[in-house]
Formats: sequence, structure tokens, C-alpha cells
Amino acid sequence: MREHSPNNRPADEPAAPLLRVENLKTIFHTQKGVARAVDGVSFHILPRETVAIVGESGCGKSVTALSILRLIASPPGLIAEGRMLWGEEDLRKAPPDRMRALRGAEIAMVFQDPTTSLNPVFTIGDQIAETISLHQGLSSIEAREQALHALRRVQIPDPTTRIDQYPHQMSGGMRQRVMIAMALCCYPRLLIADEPTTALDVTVQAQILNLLRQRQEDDGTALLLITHDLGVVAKIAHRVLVMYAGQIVESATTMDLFQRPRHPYTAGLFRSAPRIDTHAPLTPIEGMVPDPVDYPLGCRFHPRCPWAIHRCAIETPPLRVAPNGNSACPHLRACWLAEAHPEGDFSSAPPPASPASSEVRT
Amino acid sequence: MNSRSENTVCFEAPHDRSPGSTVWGRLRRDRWAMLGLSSVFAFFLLAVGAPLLALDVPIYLKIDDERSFPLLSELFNRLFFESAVDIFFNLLLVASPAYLSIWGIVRFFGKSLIRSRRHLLFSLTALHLGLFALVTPQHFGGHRNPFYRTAAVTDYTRMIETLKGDGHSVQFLFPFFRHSINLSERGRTFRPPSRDHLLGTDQQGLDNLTQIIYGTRTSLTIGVVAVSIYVLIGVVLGALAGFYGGWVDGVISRFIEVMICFPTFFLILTLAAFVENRSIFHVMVIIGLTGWPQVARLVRAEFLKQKALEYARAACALGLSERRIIFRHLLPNALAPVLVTATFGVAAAILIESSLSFLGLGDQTAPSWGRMLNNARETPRVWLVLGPGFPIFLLVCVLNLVGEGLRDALDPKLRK
Repeated sequence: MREHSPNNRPADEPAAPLLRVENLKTIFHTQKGVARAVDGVSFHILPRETVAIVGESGCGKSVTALSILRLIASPPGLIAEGRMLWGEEDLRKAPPDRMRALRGAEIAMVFQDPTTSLNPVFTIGDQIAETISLHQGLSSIEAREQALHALRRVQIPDPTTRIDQYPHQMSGGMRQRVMIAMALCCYPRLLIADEPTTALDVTVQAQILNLLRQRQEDDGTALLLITHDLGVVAKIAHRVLVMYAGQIVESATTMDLFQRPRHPYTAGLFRSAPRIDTHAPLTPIEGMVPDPVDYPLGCRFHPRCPWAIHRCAIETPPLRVAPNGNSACPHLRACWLAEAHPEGDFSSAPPPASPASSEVRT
Repeated sequence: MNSRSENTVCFEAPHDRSPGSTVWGRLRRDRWAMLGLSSVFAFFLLAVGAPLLALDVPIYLKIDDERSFPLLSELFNRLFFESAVDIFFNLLLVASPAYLSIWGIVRFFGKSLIRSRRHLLFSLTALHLGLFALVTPQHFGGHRNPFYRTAAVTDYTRMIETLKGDGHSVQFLFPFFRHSINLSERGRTFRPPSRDHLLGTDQQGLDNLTQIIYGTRTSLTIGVVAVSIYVLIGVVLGALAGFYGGWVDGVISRFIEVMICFPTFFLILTLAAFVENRSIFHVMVIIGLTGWPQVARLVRAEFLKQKALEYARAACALGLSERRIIFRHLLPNALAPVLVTATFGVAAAILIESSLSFLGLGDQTAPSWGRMLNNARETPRVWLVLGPGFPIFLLVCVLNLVGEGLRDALDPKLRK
């Protein structure tokens, strides 16, 4: 059944989250100034859960993922504040050795572009075996055996031949499978997938998503999925975090969010995605993503928000629980208007320029 | 045209598509590069087989019923071969049958033992260097060396004549050219080319061709060792600068810029003038210490490019250490331009050594083409000038052919 209703929570839901991110702030020192790529993000991931982070390009979703693994290049970037609790351990303060031991073994990552994410000069078998022998201390023959097993688990046809092939001998989808095999070869507890299907064509996308879901169910891995594709989210995520300008603006179960987005930005995202069941014209969100060096005051979405009221430009809305939500997984959103009108519906077309919004724009 | 394109398809090995074999496939189709490569290999064989080609010691000697192989022991005779270069090549000559048979056995019977040809080549090279390291210090140390032989006989020609005069039956097989490499023959100075001395003799009465043949050893060694030294320095510094960036890059880049400001050859001249009793190893080290900035710059640029690719980040995300990422994952991808530079660098180093020797700043004892030219300058004879000059020209030429071919093979996009 879960195949068709991904927002059913796993039955054995333990209380302790696998990863708890609290008030994460990642900044980059650029020539223009300090870019606050991730600015106070908090969320958690439960074991076996799939959490999706959705947002436009540049909203900080990839930086959030890289921050968890501490893969931010350190001269320009800096994880300035916050805690990333892996069990009891704060990953922000973990020593480099400990991080190296965690990466690949406990937390693994799959990247967006399979054409460049494999090393062109080694066979895929060597690359997988290297990770295995590094983390599990196996001999090269045992590691090769494990690598073969890892390739079988991601359903690569003819793995005994493929294991000795070079990345350039494979298609994009096949390479992404290899990447997933590499990421999963040590049975990590959390897999971070950064737009794993963006560079692939649609049929292959579906295969890769099915594969991810299947591996996740069999191995009990939690999945943090970074994407801008709402179709992907609907297909496999249990919970969705919507990010805008370095902050989480809405957080809910997939079902809640798709049924009724409670943030104008999320609603805008839905309206700009094509749908089969209505013939309403696509309405993109007007305006540009704000510059991370210089965010607007108040709600960061207000310059682009058709519903914006005076208060939006002055005060930053906190992330609060929406009423009438699912009590097991509260629906959170950061929006003044949604608080003023809990039943307000942002999924319809935006209103004609209201006095409030024109007042804000001038 | 059609049949030709079919042929080129056939050249691509269908099973082994490693980057190395792809490059090799392209290189094989480049006639000039293959000509260059086979000529370099011929020079190498000449260097290794020099004692079989020109020496005044018999390879095989049978006096009455007593058989002996004087050349074998002569190869490790301190009076004949005192430089480490000669020891290296003589050892290679003696051990090459063993190496070839190991190669053959492993290739045909033990494919599972060592999977790639490259690993086998590395192991054999390591074995040889190990043997060399074992032999060389003892050779200079003296009598405890099992390979060490005192020269029981210095002049086999005279010995054989004496024995014949005494009525012994003597059978012998000399190397092709029966000339000494270091025993001057008085009264034979400045002989023009003849049947006995194909390229004449020099001012000491030494056979010119023999000197040229042994000079190959010096030139090849200088080229390869000097370039190895500076590639090693350049790769390490360039990799660190490119990978870490920040202040590491700042310091190394400024250092590179300072080094590049000096005209290299004059820097080498100055350094060489400071060293007393220059041996060819000093020359190698001097060239090695001055040539690295070019390599470092290339490697740094290549690292800047490679580390931005996702596989570098993916390797980090899999928990590999920085050292492993730099040297095992990024370096092989950054080596292509270095390989081309190194090939041209060998040619350049040979020229530099010749220039130094010509100016009298090289090793005054090693049989080097440059030193021979220098001697010829003092007492000019046509055969003494062209004799060593032509091999310098030829070796540099063929090395450049190989370099050009490699550059095209490594980056076909540049070919236009």
C-alpha cells in the first residue's frame, strides 16, 4: 500500500529522531558581503523516514544538505551557528576524523549530476570497493565481492561485467544507479539525495525513484531528498520542508501540503507546476529570488507575494503551527496572513492588486 | 575512406576501455608519434645493450677446454664502470632475461595474480630499483660486494695473442665494436673514420662511436631523472596549491612566480658554478630544482578544475581522507598535461645537459655528448663534431615527436 500513499508514516515510529538540525546558519563570505545561504533552519528526520526539501534554485536546500555532511568549502563558507544532532553528537563540532568515519558509513550522499560524480579513471568496481574497504576494513577480494553485491542491489543488469567498466561506458541512469550503490554500500542510516533525478530523463527518473524507495524500505535507511520537482515529492516523501531564501517557510506531511498549502509561496510553487486535471494557465511566481547578501526586511517573500499586507514588510513571521492540522505531525508555516486568516486559501488565483499589497510595493 | 574508418573502429579494443588504453589506441594511429616512440625505445635499447655492442672484453672466451664469460664480470668492474648510471644499465642488461621471463610467465599463466599490465610494470621497476639500491653502495664500498670484480685482465686482446703464441687453442666472441671505453690508445689520436673506427678517434685516441654509444646512457638518464625530480616537486606543490587554495595557494603561487622570473638556463649556470666536482647527478638535481614551476602551475590549474567536479565532492562525501582524494582520485585526472610537458621536458633536459657540458660546467668524466662536443670545439674535426651532435639532434627530435603525439592523443580536441 505504501507504494501509492507515501505519506503513511512508517508503522514502527520511534520517538528519537535520527538527525535533529537546530537553527542552522551557513554563510559564505563573498565579495559583495556575507551571503546567508542557510539562515536559521530547524528540522528533524526520523529513522526510515523520507523528508523532502523543496524550493527554487538558490534557496539554500543544497547548502543545508552539504552542511549536514560538513562539505562546505571552508575559506568562503562557514557553518556559523546551530546544532546538527546525530543522536547525541553535534556534527558541527565533531572532529574531522569522526566526520570522515561518519561520511559514507552512516550518512551518505548522492549528487545531482551522474556524468561528473564518478571518477573517470577508475572502474566502478574499484570505486565502490574503495569505500567498502575503507569503512569496513575488508580485504580487496572481499570488498570486490561486496561491491558486486552492491551493484546487484541497485539492479544493474549483468553486474559481473559492469563492475570492471569505466563510468564513460555507462548511461546516465546507470551511473546514477552506481552512485546509489556507492552511497548505500555500507548501509548508511541516512541517505541525502541532492536532486538525484534532475539530470535524467523521465522514464529513468521513475526507475531511480522506485529504486531509492525500495532500497530505503529494505535497508531501513532514512532519506533526505533535495528537489525542486513536486512530482518527485508527491511520489516518495513522507514529509516536506519548503525553503525560501535560506529559511523554512512551511513544513507538513506530503498529504497535508498537497491538499492545502498554507503559505503563499508554496501555493505559488503549485500554481507554477503543470497539472493534468485542470486547464488553468500556469502562473509563475513573479519577481526574482532575493539576493542572499541582502534579504528584504520582514517576510523574505513579501516583495513577490500577491497577498502581502503591511505587517509582512516590517516583521519577520515565525514558523508556527497551523490550526486544524494533523496533531502527530503539525503543519507549520511562517506567514502573517495565514495567521490572520487561518481559513484563507492561497491555492486559488492571486487577488487583483489589493490596497494592502500595493501599499507594500510602493 | 570507408575502409579506413572501419579500420579505426577495429583499433578500439572493445573490452578494455580504460583511459590509458584509449589514449594508447589514439597514439598508435599517429604514425609520427609511433616513429618517435620506437626511436626512443631504440635509444633505450642502445643504452642498455651498449656493452654488447662496443667493448674490448670478450663476451665468450674458451681457452683450451676452459669456458668463461668475461663480459659478465666486467660489467661490474669498478675500473670500467664507475658511475651509478652504468651500474644501473649493466644491471638492467644482466637482469633483463629474468625480467622478460617473469613478464611472460605472469602474462600467460598468472593473470589473476596481477590484474593489469601497469601493475606488473611497476613491480618490475620497483624490483630493479631495489636491486640497484642494493648493489650500488656496495659497489662503491668495495670488496664485500658479490658483484664486485677486480680487473683480472686489462687487455684481453694482448692476452689472447700471448696465449695463442704459447700454443693454446683460444676461441672468443668480442662485442661488435672491439674498442675500449676508457683506455686511450696512443698514436691513434684524431684518426678519421675508417673500417676500424667507423666514426674516427678523438684527441685521446678513444673510439668516437664507442663514446657516443655510452653517451646515450648519460643523456637518457639525465633526461629521465631530472624530469622525474621536477615533476615530483611540481606535482606535490601544484596539487597542494590547487586543492587547498587560500594561503597555501598564495604562498606556493608567489614562489612559482618568483622562480619563473629567473631565466632558467642562467639560473642553472649559476647553480652549476657553485658546485665543485660536478657529477652528472649534480646536473640532474640542478635541472630538477629549476624546472618544477612550470609543472606546478599546470597541476595547480588542473586541480582547480578537477576539484570543482562533483566526483571530488562525492569522494569526500564517502569519507575518503584528503590525502587519498588528492593523490589517488584527483591526481590521475590532472596528470595528462604533465605527461606531455614531461616528454618535452626530457628533450629539454638533454639539451640543457649538453649545453652545460659544452660550456664546461657539466660532468667532466661521464661520456656525455655535450662534453664530446666541448672537446671537439677545442680541436675541431668533422667527425668529432657531427658524431655527438647528430644523436643529440635525433634524440631531441624524436622525443618532441612523442610529445606532440601524446598531446594530440590526450586531448583530441586540440588537434585542429
